[in-house]
Amino acid sequence: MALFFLNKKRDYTDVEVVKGLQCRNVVIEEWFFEKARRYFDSSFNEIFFDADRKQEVFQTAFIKLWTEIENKKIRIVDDALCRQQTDLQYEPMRCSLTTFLMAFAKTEHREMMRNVREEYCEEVFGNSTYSNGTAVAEEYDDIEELKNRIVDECIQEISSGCAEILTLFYYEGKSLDEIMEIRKEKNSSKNGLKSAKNKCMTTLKERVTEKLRNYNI
Amino acid sequence: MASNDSGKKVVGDVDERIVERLKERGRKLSQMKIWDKKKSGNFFYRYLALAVAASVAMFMMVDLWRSNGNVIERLGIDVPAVESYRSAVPELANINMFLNDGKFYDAIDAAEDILEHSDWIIEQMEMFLIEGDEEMEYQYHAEKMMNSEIRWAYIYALVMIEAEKTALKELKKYLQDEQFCAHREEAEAMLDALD
Repeated sequence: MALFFLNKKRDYTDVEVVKGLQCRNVVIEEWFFEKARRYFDSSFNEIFFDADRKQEVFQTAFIKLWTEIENKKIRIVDDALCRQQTDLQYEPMRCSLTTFLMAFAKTEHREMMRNVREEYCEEVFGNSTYSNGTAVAEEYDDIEELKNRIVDECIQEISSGCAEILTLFYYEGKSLDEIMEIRKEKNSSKNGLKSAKNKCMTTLKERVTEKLRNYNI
Repeated sequence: MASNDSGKKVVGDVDERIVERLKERGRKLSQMKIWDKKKSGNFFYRYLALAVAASVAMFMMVDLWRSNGNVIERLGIDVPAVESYRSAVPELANINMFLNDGKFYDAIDAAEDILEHSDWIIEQMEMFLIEGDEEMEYQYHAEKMMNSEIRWAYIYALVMIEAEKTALKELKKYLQDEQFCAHREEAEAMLDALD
């Protein structure tokens, strides 16, 4: 019984977390998720009245951070936590991963509340996206990784409704009828859902194509 | 879908890459749901274990509390009965009645009254006992017998209400005069159990 209560998992540093997430270490992934959840709950609890909204903000922010790490936008350079800037150079990060998560969550929350993306953290967002029209691809040694990153960024920019429909359809393999059932009153008819899904995919594809073109890929 | 030299997936057109990344996003969402469920499951089992531990502790405490009361039961000691020839005395008859009815506090009150008086009489007799005075010796003997009998009833009632300290003190007093200890073995066993 005592062992059951004393069964405490070991802690990991941010450097270990980044390395673990990049090599898909499930133990570290789960540990970081739990840590992020606890930190989010203790820091954000009071501003949410709606549990679903809180869950959505956390999920979106966590996936964004997780994806940035997996796509090596955040990586370890000389044993230091670094983030890639516009000029493709990695600069040491001045804040922890959980601070980044909170910054993502705050933006997500503001966007959700006001439907306007606000820039408030220069380090996190000021240099976070690549400038359009820059032929950075030539300098980038892993084109596949860059393409993935561009697609991920575009997916994160689409509305939560679009992201839900596309994820249900393409990842979970749900039929339109099943998606109608899951989303309930959010779609009035099957035809409406079908056209929404097509429109979401078309918009996403246009954005991705445009960005890829800007990078000369 | 092919792989390049470094073993990474090479995704052909935009549609395919978008679907690929949507699937990756879906995988992450599913994984997060699993962790959330696991976490809430862990909480459930931790609270369940805590509740079980608390229940066990409570039963152990109750058992400990009951164990002293059960000393008499464990040792198989019968309810003391004041000798019938003494039952003509109403106070003694009352003690018998109280013990049989389980009215231990009443039995204690009655026993204390009698013992206080009896202890004083014995003290006086011991002070003025004349050697060879058979009647006086008989009365002293009879008083000591009654005193011992009442004290045993008193001890029994004290143990039943868990008044351990007083019971121990009275047991030691009871065992002082071996010749009047009708329940010596039981008293010694009780002393061991309570001490």
